[in-house]
Amino acid sequence: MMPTPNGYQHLPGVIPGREPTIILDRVSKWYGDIVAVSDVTFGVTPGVTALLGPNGAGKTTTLKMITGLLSTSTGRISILGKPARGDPSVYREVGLVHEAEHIYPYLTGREFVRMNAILQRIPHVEQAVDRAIEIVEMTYAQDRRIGGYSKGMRQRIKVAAALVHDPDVILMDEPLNGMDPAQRLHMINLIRDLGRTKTVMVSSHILAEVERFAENIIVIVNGKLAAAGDYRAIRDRIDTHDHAIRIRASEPRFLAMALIGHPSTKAVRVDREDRLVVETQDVRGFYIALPQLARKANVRLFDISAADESLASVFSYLVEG
Amino acid sequence: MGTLGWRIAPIFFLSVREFVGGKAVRAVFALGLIPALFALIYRINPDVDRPRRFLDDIVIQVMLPSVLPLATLILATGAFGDEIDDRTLPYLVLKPITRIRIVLEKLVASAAVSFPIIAIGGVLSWFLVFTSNGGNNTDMLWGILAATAVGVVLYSAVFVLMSLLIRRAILAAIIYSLVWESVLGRFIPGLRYLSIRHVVTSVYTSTVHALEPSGRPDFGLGIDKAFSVQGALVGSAIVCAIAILLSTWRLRKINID
Repeated sequence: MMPTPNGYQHLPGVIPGREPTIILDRVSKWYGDIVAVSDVTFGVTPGVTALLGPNGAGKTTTLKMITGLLSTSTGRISILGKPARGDPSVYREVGLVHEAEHIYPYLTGREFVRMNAILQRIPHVEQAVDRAIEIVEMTYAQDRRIGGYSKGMRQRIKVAAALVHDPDVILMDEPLNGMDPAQRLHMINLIRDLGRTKTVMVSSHILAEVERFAENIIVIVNGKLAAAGDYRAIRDRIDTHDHAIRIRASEPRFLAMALIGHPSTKAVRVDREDRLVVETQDVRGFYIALPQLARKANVRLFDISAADESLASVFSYLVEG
Repeated sequence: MGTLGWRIAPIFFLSVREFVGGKAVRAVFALGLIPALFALIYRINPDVDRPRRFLDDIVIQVMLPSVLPLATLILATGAFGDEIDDRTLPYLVLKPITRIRIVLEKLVASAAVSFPIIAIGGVLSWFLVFTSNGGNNTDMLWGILAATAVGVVLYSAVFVLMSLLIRRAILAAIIYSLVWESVLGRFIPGLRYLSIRHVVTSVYTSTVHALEPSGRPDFGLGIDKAFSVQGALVGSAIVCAIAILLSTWRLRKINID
């Protein structure tokens, strides 16, 4: 029997004062010699929690184990006090927006959502279907076949199907994939709204996206838990760590001289392609100062990019820090 | 959709729609018509003295051992196999419904689509062979329908299980049908008791025997006359139940990537 959520306040990821609805207790998953998830323990409380990590970090495997699609090699997972796998009744309270794009192409959007409602055995099917389709703003296309939907439309109808039975726990695997900016904004607002009353867990590999809806994050790198907790606290930790910025300019050496005197600059070097690589601990202050310093030095800026912009390097700060 | 049927058995209706709308059903239809093709050739150049013997040959040598398993395996292995491949299975398994219900609805859908398609080929063959012949040959028609029904259910149950156990279930099912049942069954007589083909052929011959008072020879095919229709049905029910229970167990344990 799985332990009840009580007494799990100390778990990574648990917001103080809230009871965790999802608990992973020393969970590992391996395929032969390959370790996909290694000894991960965390809790997820009501609100929006983002499951972050670079591609291949183990996010989808973790999410699939939480839904019971995959078994754990070791460890236990519970949702609302029930085992995540082996007891179908738990799915009455769980909605999953999973990553696979393929949905029955011969069904209309409404038929697909209705099928999910029927399988959830909810009493007022048509009303629930209307409500779910309205939430994702797909009423106009509900009677068209899914085979003719765009990627963004398919994502939205999957969300409607996951919400049709009004579950307490909603799990979303990369839900913003394929959406245009307007659709993304709508989905972000929807995730925020859902997080007010439900446990919403959203996996993503785009940190900037997560900032807009998640108050809590779980970071997984190389299958291990790298960080868990309040998003802003972790972001601040990233902000105060050294950042490397690569700059292509008309006169890199003149610009280097201008930058070296600025308090936000920790070190400057010129790489083999004659680009400046600047290390700073105050990335926001540096970006504000850079244009003014370049103008004073009479240097034209062609390109500015983070030398370590990949999530992998951002997360490595967390792992090493 | 939206009818009472969908509300009672949504997975059955979803699967039927998937089968009927897919390309595989065309292959099943084409296979199902092979016996009718032979019958058509007979119809063009009939041997008026031997119509019963000719139809028996078609049914026992072509339809039951080859067409029936091959046509059934195409849909039955796809019942779960296609959903595993295109990753839509989570839409069914992440629901508060028992696994045995999912298996049963899938199995019934597979059998419900396979049976009429294969039976049409048999009925058409019967019609083409006897249409100009006169006489009462309905015993053979009932034999064809009974054997097809039992065979479709049995093969579907076994092939649905295979699709949950093996990634390349269609290949395994072909090996089972053509190697285990046909080749090995011919050289190792004991194997026929573990063969669906033997059960199905027995159902056919027993039904025809039962309906035709004069009785007929078994054409040297080694059909066990003591193997009654009742015995075949009981054995089939046991095999079917085991396949369904194993499929349910497998669906509980399967990892869906």
